[in-house]
Amino acid sequence: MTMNYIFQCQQLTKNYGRIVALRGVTLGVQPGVVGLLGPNGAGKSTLFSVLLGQTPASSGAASVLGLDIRRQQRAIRRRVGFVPENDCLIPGMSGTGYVYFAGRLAGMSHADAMQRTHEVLDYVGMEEARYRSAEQYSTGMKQRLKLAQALVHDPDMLFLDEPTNGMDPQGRQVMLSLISDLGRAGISVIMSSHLLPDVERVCERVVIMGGGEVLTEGRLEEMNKPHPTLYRVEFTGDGASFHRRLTDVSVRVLEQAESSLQIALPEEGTQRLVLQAARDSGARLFGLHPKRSSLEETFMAAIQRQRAP
Amino acid sequence: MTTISGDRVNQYQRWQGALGKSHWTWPAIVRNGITLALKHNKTRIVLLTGGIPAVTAVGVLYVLSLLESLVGTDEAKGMYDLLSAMLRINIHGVTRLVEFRDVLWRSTFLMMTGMQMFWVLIIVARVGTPLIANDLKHRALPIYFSKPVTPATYLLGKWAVAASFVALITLVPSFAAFAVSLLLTDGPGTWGQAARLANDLILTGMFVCVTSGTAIIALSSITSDQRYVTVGWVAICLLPMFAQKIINESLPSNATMGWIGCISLRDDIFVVAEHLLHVRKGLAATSLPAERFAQALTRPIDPAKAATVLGVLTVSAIFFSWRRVVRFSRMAAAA
Amino acid sequence: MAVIELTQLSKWYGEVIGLNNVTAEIEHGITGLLGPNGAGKSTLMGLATGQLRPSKGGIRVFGESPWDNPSVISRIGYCPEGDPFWQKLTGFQFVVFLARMSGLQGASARRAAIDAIERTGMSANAGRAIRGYSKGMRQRIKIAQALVHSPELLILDEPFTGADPIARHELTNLFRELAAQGVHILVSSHVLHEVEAMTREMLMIDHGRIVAQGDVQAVRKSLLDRPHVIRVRVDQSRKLASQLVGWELVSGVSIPQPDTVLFETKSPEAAYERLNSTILSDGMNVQEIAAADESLEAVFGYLTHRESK
Repeated sequence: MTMNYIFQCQQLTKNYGRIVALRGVTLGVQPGVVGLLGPNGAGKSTLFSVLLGQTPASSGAASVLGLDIRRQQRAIRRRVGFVPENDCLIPGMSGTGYVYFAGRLAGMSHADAMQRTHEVLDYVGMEEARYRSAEQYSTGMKQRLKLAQALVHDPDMLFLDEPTNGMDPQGRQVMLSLISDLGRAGISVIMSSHLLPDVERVCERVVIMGGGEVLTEGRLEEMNKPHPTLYRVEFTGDGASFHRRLTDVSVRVLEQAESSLQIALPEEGTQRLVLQAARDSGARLFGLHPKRSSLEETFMAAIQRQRAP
Repeated sequence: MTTISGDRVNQYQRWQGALGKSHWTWPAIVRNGITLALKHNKTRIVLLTGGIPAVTAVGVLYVLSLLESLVGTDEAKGMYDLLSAMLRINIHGVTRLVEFRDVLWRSTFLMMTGMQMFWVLIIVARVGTPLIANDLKHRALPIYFSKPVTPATYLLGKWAVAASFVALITLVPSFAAFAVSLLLTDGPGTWGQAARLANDLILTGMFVCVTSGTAIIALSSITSDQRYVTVGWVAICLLPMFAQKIINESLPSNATMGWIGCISLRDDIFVVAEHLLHVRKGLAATSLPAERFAQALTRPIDPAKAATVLGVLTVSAIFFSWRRVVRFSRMAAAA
Repeated sequence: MAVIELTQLSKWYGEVIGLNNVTAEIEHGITGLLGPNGAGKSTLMGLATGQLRPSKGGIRVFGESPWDNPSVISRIGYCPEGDPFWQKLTGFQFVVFLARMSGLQGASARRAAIDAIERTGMSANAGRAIRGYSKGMRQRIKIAQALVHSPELLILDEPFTGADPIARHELTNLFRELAAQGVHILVSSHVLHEVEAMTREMLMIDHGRIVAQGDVQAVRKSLLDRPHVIRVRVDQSRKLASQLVGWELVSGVSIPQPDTVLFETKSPEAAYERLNSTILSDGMNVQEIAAADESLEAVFGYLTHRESK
C-alpha cells in the first residue's frame, strides 16, 4: 500500500439489498484538491459514507490516509473533516457554540476547542455574526460555518458534499477561494459537485463516477490540455480577405462566423502565421484560443461511453 | 526583532495540539444538551418548581419532630390531622412517635417521590423529547458521525442529558431534603438507620432516572417530529394509568393483583420505590392496623413483577434506540 | 414590442424593499436575470407572473398588466424556485393537474402532460411519487409543469439548482430549442456559465435596482472605469512584459505563471494592435491571446462588487 494516496479502494462494493451503490471500485487518489463528479445515483454519497467509516462496505477494501476503513474508523475520523450538503445545524446554537461543540466531539479539550473555534471562524470570514444564532444565517454563511466545523480539529483531509450548491456567485467565489487556500496549506480536499465550472476552478484532479463505478480519473490539466493545432480566432475586419491569407499560408479554416474562425494550424508552434495573416489582411485580431475540451465535454463523453451498450 | 503573524494575511493556520480519547466525547454531548435545554425559561421554571415536593417533605419531617415533643398538648391535634392527611396514614392517638420515626421518614420520602413523578413527566416531555428527534429533523447527525463519535457514545450522551434532568428533579432535591431534615430534626433514628435511608433514597432516584431516561430516548429516536414524541410520552405515562384505574375499580378491593396490576407504569415505579424504601414492610411491622395505612400504599402488587415489567421495557428501549442510532449513523453521509 | 415592460416599478413588503423604481424592457429570446441573493429576482418574477401586485409603477407582459388577468397569465409558464407541490402525487398526476388548472380539458390535458414530460426527459419516472424524486427530477417535473400549456413566455427561477450535470446539459439544450421555436424565456441562475451557454442578453439587478442590461460584451465595454485585462501565453514572457511596461496605454503588467503575461489597459483595441505587431517583430511565439475579464462571471463581479476602497 502506498502512503502517497489520500485514499485507496480495492474492489470496493456496497449493496443496499438488491441495489448496488458501489460496484467494485478500485481507485487511488493522490493528495490535492480533488473533484468527485457524477450524475445523481452515481455512488458519490455512498463512497463518502463508506470512506468515513459510517456505512460498512459489502466487500472489498479501502483505506483513508493509510488507515483501514473497517478497523480504524475512529482514527480516520480524527484526521478528516466532513461538510455535509444539508444544513445540519442544531437549533438554538450560535456559530461559536456550534464549532466549539464540533471540536469537543473531535476530542479537543475545552481551551483548545475555544481557541481553535475563533481561529477557524476568523479564517472563514465570520465576523460578529458568529455570536448570533446560526439558524438566521444566509446560505453562504451556513456553508462557511459548516466548513469551520469541519476544520476545527485541523484535519489532514476534507470531504465536501456539494459545497457551492445553491449559493450566489459571490458566495461561491468566497467558498472556492477558501478551498483553494486549504489545498495550498497542504490539506487534501475531496469535493463532490454538480457545478463543473466550480470544479474546473479549484480542483487539480477529478474522479468521474457513474452507476457505482469509476469512469475516469486523472489530472484536470491533462484532461483540459489545449489542442496543439486547433484554434478559435476572434477578429474584426474583412473576414474573406483574412480567410484567404490564412489559406495562403496553409492554415485550414474549419468554420467561419461573422467575427470568429475555427482553424487548424499546419503544425505545432505556427501561431505566428495567424498573426501575420491578420496583419496582412488588415483584420484586427483580439482573441486566439486553443481548443480544449471542457470538463463538461469530458464528463458527458465518460457518461455516454458507459451508457452505450 | 520584527515578526509578521500569519494571521495578518488570513492564511490557513495548522493546529499543533493533540486530540483526547474519542471514547470521552459523550460528556461534550451531555454538556451541550444541558446548556441548550437550560436556554428555555420554561425548563428553568420546571426545575425550580421541582423543589416543591422536597420542601414539602422537609416541612412534614419538621412538623413530625415538633409533634414528638408536643404529644398530649392542644397543638398536637392539628399536627396529627396535618400529618395524617399528608402521609395518608392515620396516626391519631400514636403517642410513642419515636418508635415510628424511621418508617414515617420513609413514608414521607415515598410521598415525595410520588409527587415528583408529576415533575418527571413534565421535565422529560420538555427536555427529553427533542434529544434525538431534533437532530433527525435538522439532519444534524453528520456532525456527530463524521467525528470520532460512535453510536454508543452518542446514545450514552443523549441518555445522560435526559437522566441528568430527571436527577435534578428527583435525586438532587431528595438528597437535599434529606440533608436539611437531618439538620433541622433529630434524624430518623440511629446513624445506621439514616445511612440506610440515604442509600435507599439514592437507589430509588437512580431507578427513576434510568427508566424514564431510557424510555424517552427510545421514543425520541422514532420520529423527527418532537410533537409526536411528546404526545407519545404523555400517552405512555397516562393511558396505562387510566386503564389501571378502570381495572382496579372493576375488581373487588381485596382481590390479589397479578400481572394485571402492573399495567400502570407509574404504579410500577411507585411499587418499586415502595419496595426500595421498605415502606410496606416497615408499616406492616408496626403496631398500626393495616387499614390505617392502606391509603398510603398502592394495591398489593409483587414488586418483582413490577420491576420485571419496567426492566423488560427498559431493555427493549435500549435495544430499540441502539438499533435506530446505528441505522442513523450509517445514513449520516448518504442522507 | 417588448415582451415584458417595467415602468418605474416598485414592490415592497412592509418595510422590506423588493424592487425599487425599475424601468426596463425585456426583449424576445432568452434573457438571463442575474443578481446576488436577495437582489429582487424572485420579486420581479412574481410580478411578471401576476402573483404579486406592484406597490407602485407598472409592469406589462405582452402589453397588458398580468395582475388578475387570466388571459395574460395563461400565456406564461412559470417554474418557481421552491418545492411547492404535493409530494404524494406522481409526476404525471402533478403535471396533468396543473394542465387542468391552466385550462386544458380531459384528454388534451393528458396528452399535453405526456408531451411536456417527454420533452423534459421524465417519461421513465412520471409514474413514481414526487416524494421519491431527486432534486434534479424535481426540477425537471417543475419545468414540465411550466411547459404543459405551451406558453409563449417561460419564467424560470433557478431551474438548475441541485440538478446534476446531465440534467443541466439537457435542460440548457431544451431551453435553447424552445427559444429557437419562438418561446421567450426569462431565466435566473447563480451559475453564470450556464446562463452564458444560453444567451448573452442579461438583466442584472442588485438591491432591487437595475445594475446593467443588454449584451454582456457591450456591458463590459461600457464599464469605462475598469481597465481591460488581457492574458497572453507566450514563450518569452519576460521579454514581452518588459516591452509592455514601456507602453503608455498599459497601466499594469504581471506574470502570474512563467508562460503567461497579464496586462491592464483602458484602450484594448490599440493594445491588441500593438501587441500583435510586437509579437511578430520580436520573433516571439504565442499560445493564446484572450480577454481575461469579458466573461459574464467577470462582468457580474465588477457590477455587484461593493467597492470598499
